[in-house]
Amino acid sequence: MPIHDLGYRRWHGNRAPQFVRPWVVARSGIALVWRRRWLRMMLMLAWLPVIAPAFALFAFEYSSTEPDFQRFIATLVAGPLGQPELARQVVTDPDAARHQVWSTLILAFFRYPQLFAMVVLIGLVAPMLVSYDLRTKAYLMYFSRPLTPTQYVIGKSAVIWFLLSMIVTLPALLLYVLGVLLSPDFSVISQTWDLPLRILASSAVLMIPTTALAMGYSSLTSESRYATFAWFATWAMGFVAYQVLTFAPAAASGRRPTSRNRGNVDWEALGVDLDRWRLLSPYHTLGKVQAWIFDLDTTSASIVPALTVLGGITIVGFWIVRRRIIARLSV
Amino acid sequence: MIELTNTTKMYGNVVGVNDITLSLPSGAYGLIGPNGSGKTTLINLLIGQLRPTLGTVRMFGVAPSRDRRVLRRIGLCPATDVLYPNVSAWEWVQYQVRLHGIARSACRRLAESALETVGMTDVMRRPMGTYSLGMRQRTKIAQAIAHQPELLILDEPYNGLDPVGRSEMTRLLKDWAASGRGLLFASHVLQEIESITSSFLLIFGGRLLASGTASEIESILADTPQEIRITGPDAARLIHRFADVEWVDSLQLTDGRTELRVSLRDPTQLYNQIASWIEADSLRITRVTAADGNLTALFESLLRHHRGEVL
Amino acid sequence: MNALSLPLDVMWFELRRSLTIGRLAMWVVLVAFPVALIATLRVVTETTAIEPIGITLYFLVPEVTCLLGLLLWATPAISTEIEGQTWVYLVLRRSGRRTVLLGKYLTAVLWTLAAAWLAIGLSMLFLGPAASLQLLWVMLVLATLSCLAHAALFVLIGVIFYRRTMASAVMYTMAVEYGLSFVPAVVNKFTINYRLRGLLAHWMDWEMARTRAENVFGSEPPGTHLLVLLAITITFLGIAFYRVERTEYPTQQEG
Repeated sequence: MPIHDLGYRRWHGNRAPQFVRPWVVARSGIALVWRRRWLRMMLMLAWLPVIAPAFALFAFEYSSTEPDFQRFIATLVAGPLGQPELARQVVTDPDAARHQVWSTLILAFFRYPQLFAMVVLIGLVAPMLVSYDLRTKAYLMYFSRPLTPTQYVIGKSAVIWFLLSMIVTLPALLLYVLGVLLSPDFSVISQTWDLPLRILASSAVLMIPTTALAMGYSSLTSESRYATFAWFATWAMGFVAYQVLTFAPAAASGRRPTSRNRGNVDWEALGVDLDRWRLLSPYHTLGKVQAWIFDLDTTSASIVPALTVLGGITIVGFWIVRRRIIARLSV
Repeated sequence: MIELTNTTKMYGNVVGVNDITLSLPSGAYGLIGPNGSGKTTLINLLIGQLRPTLGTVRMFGVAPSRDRRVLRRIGLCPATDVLYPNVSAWEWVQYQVRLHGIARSACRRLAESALETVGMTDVMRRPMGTYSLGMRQRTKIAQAIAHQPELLILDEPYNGLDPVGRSEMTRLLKDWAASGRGLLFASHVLQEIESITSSFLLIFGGRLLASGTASEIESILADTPQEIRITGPDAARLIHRFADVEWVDSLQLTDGRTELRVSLRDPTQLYNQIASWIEADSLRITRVTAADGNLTALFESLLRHHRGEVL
Repeated sequence: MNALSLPLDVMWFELRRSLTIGRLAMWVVLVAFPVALIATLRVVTETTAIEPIGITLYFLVPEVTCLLGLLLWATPAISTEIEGQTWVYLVLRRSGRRTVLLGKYLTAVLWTLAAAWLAIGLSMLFLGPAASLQLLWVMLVLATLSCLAHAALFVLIGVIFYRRTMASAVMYTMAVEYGLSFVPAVVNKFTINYRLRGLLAHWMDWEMARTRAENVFGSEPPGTHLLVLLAITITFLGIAFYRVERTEYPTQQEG
């Protein structure tokens, strides 16, 4: 027997296919995470925000027979959701407004409560995923089996994808199904059949780069608190940088919105370019792409830079994880 | 020195320590029990890290969780590793001494003295991240003895040590015990304790099963049957041999008639005879297994005593 | 004297062991972040009015920089020792728990305050002649007060939620310190943000800096703000000391 053949003994039974192996890593990670009661509580709480857009959908569908509901929806769409033209259409031609109203409500669900929940949930779970394995040398247990670093990374990422799908994708799809069930008849499906696909695309845009970023941070340190800090600091600093650089110059020059309702402001008229500093903020970059997916992007800049940034984060993040693992395994 | 009265510690529904009562004057004691028996919980109660759910714990006449001044008289070397990778042993031991409230001027002298005692003088200024496991273990001992306590508690001090390290640790602890200061030494390996002290506390499932000297414990063993397992295709054919001798208590045939379990008081009788029986009867015997070391036999015997299974 | 110097020795030890390249890099980022934004604003903004940019500077340094710095250094005070399995060494010392907590509090304040002061100083250079000594003094004082008060808050959160400490601190800050500031209710008076902005508004005579709640309830004198901040700091630290003495933290690492 050649010397280099020592180590892993030959197995003559049936092995699982290569593409199934990440699932083994994912399954154990999910099982470990799922055991925590606080996490299950958080997942339940993360579903609560679906109530508001679900009610709004119901109110919109019911508004054809109830003028009060129609006025409520028009006010909601014109005000907080910032689409006065759509509000007028809700009153004059609800059928034509349906697709955009549904898209707007689902996008609002993605953008506000679920993005915050995502940041907190990943900040709680992701930093330990790789850093803990590095700290305790548990990665040796994985790689003494016929598992490649890529399969390990995909398996660990799948843990986060599972959790995110629980708080983002599933509630959004449920929202769509509720909209269908609460509407007067099933013909609404013919108008809104594309929305589930947009939900899936928007989920993918949300999940993949954020997972790559979190995993990258987790792999850079064996102490999870630094990865946690880096995660929260990235979102906080990005958000603050965008807000300050975008709105502070106009405010400093005395150009302020006349209405207290920020959703109804013509920022371009005030000389505020909402896209100029967008790429500094992961939150706003994701918002741009998700709005584009739902065909609700009202800003003038091209989508390409935002997509490029998200793609770059994805590639760099996963590359860092893989390199860190390979470096540990190299002699 | 140590006094526990009906001490129980519960973690929710899990029993850590169950109704322990003992009183130990100054001396050296071995606390022996398998993993998960409650040794670390007991130690944490003694140092005041945990408060008993029921009963009382007194160290030098004082409850350690209430009056932390008594901790000045105790030194602990825990089982967990110390992980300050960019701090040297010299800095860290000084820091630990300082936390006892000892004046700065004395901390350095005490730390260096302790590090010299454990043989770490040459490397004490290197970062601990560069130390071997044995060096970190010795550093832990140094921080435990630097403030000159009256009682030293060690939790699995031999973990990870090579034979040279073990020998040095044994010498250190013997010297400590010989100086008249208190020593409580927790381990799951009987031989480690036997080399230091002859007084034992046996703990299992959170209960104090027995306490005494080695000879007292051996006498328990002597009165308690041990089990030998004989495995092979012809194991059943040995039954008639064992049935004729008075030193066998019971026989049990299991595992498809290929394993014979013999309960007896004096295994040496069996060892003297079994080879000749096998040869004489031309038996196919593949394995003869004794009880897993003294410790397992010891605990099994004690548990049988506690359950009343042995008279 | 020995008891007073003990927390300082803890602080010195913590500072020594935290001087790693990673931590220094994070510290530099915390300094550079607000400076870069202020510098960019000066380039892209036409106006020279100091009030809006001063308020921005307040938001960036005494708020964001201080909060992020303390998130890193104050909240994991207990959890680092538990995760590193070194907590048992500290509890075996007579005043180990309280002294170490106070020492770590001081360390967190020192690290963060150093970053904040440097950021303020560098930002003032970019503000040019519009920046006055008064603005500099006010910002330095507000950064100091912010560090002291927020560090006490984060240490308390770290003592109570030692397992999910940073996420807890982030959620508390978002929900209470910032979320509540949009609600003009009495509860605002118990937030650090309310008090700091009140001081800024009074000392610089900037009405725009006041919170909505203060605009509704009326402004309070600076002495009241300072007193409440002191009370908040002492209360949080006191509760943290009490909890750390009583809580039975795990001494072995959990999976």
